[in-house]
Amino acid sequence: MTTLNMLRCAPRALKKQPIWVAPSRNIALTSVNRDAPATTGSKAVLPGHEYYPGKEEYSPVIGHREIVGHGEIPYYTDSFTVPCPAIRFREVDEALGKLREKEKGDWKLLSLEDKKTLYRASFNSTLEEVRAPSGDWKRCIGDNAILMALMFLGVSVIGFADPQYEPKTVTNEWVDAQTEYLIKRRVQPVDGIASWYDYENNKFKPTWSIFTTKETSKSVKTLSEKE
Amino acid sequence: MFKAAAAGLRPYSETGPRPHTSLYPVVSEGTWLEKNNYAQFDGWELRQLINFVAADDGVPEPEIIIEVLKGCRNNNDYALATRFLEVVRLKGGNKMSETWPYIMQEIGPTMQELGISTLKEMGYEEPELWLENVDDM
Repeated sequence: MTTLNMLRCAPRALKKQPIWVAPSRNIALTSVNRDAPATTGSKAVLPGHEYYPGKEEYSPVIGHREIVGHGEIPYYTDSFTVPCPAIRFREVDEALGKLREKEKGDWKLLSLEDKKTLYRASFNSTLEEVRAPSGDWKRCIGDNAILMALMFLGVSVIGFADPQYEPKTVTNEWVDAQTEYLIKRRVQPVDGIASWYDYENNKFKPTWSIFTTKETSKSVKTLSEKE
Repeated sequence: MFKAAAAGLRPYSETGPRPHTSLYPVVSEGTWLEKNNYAQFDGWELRQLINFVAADDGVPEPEIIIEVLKGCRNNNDYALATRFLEVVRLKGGNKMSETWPYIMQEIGPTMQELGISTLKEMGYEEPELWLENVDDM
């Protein structure tokens, strides 16, 4: 699909016109800029901003930034694999022009601020800043924690508020009937429920109390009185 | 070079043929640096060279670094020199603490001669500014 898309650029390339790129300035290269001679575009040749081929054609796209390197479509990126992109980062001003004149002299006369300004004029960030961590993992985990909290809220508060969602096997009536059935059938006589029931005296042994609450203990008493 | 050899490193020029070196066996005399006069490169070619150094798997030798810095001086481009030094430093990778002091030791005199301040003086060995990642905007 990309090859078919590239064929769209063929007519313009044959006419030796620059290919349209996503510019930060004017949305499209207007016909005025294309057909007129080299009178449009940045004419001011500030000190240090000498003429370079392609200056008029690309100035609507990149502005007053100098093209200094290889690249058919000049764009700026910060990357360790391509440390020197095709264009400088900042546009040319008068102050920068004066600094460039100073740069042509002895570099020992440049102050530290001058050197930093020169660096930031050509490059947006240092390579160490490219390597620096962004801390995005905190945002990811935080967003997920918020969603999980909302989910727990929904299940515990909203879900349990409706009696339709309560299972009937949890009610005391069901549990009491269940225990009565289990004791009559004498299931788990070794380690389980039948071992905690005293069949001679027809009551539960004292260890059964750890499984009871105030509500269940009433029903247990009735159970033991029944049998 | 003893320290470099102890770290298991070998000179960049011995790693093998590269496109910017000759593809054919060279019969004439002269070292690799004499054939490639990096000091007379213009800004365009220097940036090509630095991009290639960043892509290649090795730390360039001090002689090559000195030639590139002289090329930057001839083109009156100070920012390119610092960028190249950053690239050389980060090319060391996990062994940055062994290669970088050795290289600074070798190119120190040239840097003082040309007036280039070290990365430590500029404060570019750690990140200086915080810039938001484009993917997080």
